[in-house]
Amino acid sequence: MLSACQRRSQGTDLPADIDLVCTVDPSPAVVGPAQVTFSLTDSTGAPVRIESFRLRADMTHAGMAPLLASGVEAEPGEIVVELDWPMSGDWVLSVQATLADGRELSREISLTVQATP
Amino acid sequence: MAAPSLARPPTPRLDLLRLPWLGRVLRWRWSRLALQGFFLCMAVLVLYDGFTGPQLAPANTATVLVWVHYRGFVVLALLLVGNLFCAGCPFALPRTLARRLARPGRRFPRLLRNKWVSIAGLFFLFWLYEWLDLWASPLLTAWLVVAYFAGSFLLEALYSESPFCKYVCPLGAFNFTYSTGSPFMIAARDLNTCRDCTGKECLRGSHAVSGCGTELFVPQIRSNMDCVLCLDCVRACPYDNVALAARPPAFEWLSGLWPQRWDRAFLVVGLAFFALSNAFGMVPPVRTVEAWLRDHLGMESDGMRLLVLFAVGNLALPAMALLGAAWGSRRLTPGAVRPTMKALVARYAPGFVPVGFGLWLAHYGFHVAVGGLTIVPVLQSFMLDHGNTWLGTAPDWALGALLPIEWVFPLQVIAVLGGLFVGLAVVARAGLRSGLPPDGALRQLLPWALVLTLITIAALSIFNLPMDMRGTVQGSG
Repeated sequence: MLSACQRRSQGTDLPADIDLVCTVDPSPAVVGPAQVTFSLTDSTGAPVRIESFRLRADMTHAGMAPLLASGVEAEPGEIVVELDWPMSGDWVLSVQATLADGRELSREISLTVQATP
Repeated sequence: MAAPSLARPPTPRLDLLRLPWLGRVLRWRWSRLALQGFFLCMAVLVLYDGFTGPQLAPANTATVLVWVHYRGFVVLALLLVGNLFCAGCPFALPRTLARRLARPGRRFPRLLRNKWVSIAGLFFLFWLYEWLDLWASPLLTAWLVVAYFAGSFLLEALYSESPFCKYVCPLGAFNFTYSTGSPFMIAARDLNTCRDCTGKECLRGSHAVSGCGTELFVPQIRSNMDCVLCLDCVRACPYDNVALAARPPAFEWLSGLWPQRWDRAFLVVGLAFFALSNAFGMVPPVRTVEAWLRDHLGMESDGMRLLVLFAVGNLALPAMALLGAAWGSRRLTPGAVRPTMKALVARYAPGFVPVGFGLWLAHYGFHVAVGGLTIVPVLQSFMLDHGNTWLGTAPDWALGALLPIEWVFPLQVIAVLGGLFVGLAVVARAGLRSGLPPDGALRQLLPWALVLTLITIAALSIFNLPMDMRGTVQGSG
């Protein structure tokens, strides 16, 4: 089952008519391989095409190397990124995307990764 | 009884100040200022980037330098050399200005001339660290540095001695405590020279050089406690009679000269428990405990929950350990030669220093091992943000660990068990030197050995858990 990540409001640059939903599988996130999906829709709910997409995942603690990934559209308006969470704790996903219409989008999303049960 | 042979200061067989090149550098009049200048530059960078840089902790020099490198290198420096970070402390730099403002002769209140204030400071700092997730906030880290500068300046301006370093600074208390195990110590080269000295410049200073800021008198120094390694005494001595002498391992813990003071005993025992609670704050069970406090005791405030946790873990438990071990030790000692609780505490408390140090080394060493190289891309990014390509044209974010991750836990185990073995050796030696027959000595030291072993078991259990780096990013929802 997929679930939405927690959203952040600060440090973001998201066009007003664009909605970004992030889902992670498995959910809740646990240490190990994961699939993170980002879906962009406009105010009518229609998918928003993405030209390029970059993701940076940082732990909130200083001194941890980030995970870096790029992504391509799997479906219109949908990016799927494969990650391997190395450590449990609080993470910040920083999304940088260029939309097909040339607009830039950036967003920070908080996510908690739990230890492997 | 203390062994008189061990009560003497170490004979300076190896004196760092006599080494050809290093000695010259150390004795140079401006060597401390140069070191402080380096750390001041670091502090300015922390302030600048903390206030203006990205508020993502792993991408900001403030959080990376303070919470990864500073802490890690402090413990390494204490282990390998001594109290280098007090020597280079930039917070002491505004002292010159502050002293001009100070009313001469005004002393720090007698009631506060002990370690209780710095113990309270340590408690407050660790609570603040957990409550505000300081490791995750460059901004708050920068404010902490500001608070340090302000506190040091204020106390120097109010009082004519150096009360901030000696009685208040929590970092200083940490450094002082663990420098008691450092391999070098200030000592007189020839005690007869000191005996004939009338000026006592090492203590009082001279027209050209300050004396000891923390009021230590070289021929009487038997401990690194309260020594900030400024080497002012070296420069002040008109007879060139001060050494930075190598000393036998664990010299201070085995000297039998540990003072009979509750504040000093609580500081070393408390720091071992602070190490436990600090590491416990980074593993998943802390979330369970916090949830229990919220659900069963109705504590909605994170700060209040942590206050309760820390009051138990950092105050009640060390107090119980200290008093419980002393009580048990006294009860197990034959009545005719039963020492006071305070005497027992002074005899066995040094055993907590290596145990605590092993815990800090394991914890802070972990952060350096897994993130020591992250400073490279962070600095690259900082330079690029300011239009400078000296460090490259793109940050190499792949840089992170200094050591393979699979090495880290075994090394942590070595640090923790090493601390325990040294701690047990210290209490065993103290017991055997108590004047009791071996079976009586064994009974007396047993409660202390038990507490040290329990701390170690708790520490290994914590380090064996997966790290859970919690933290709230500024402004996160």
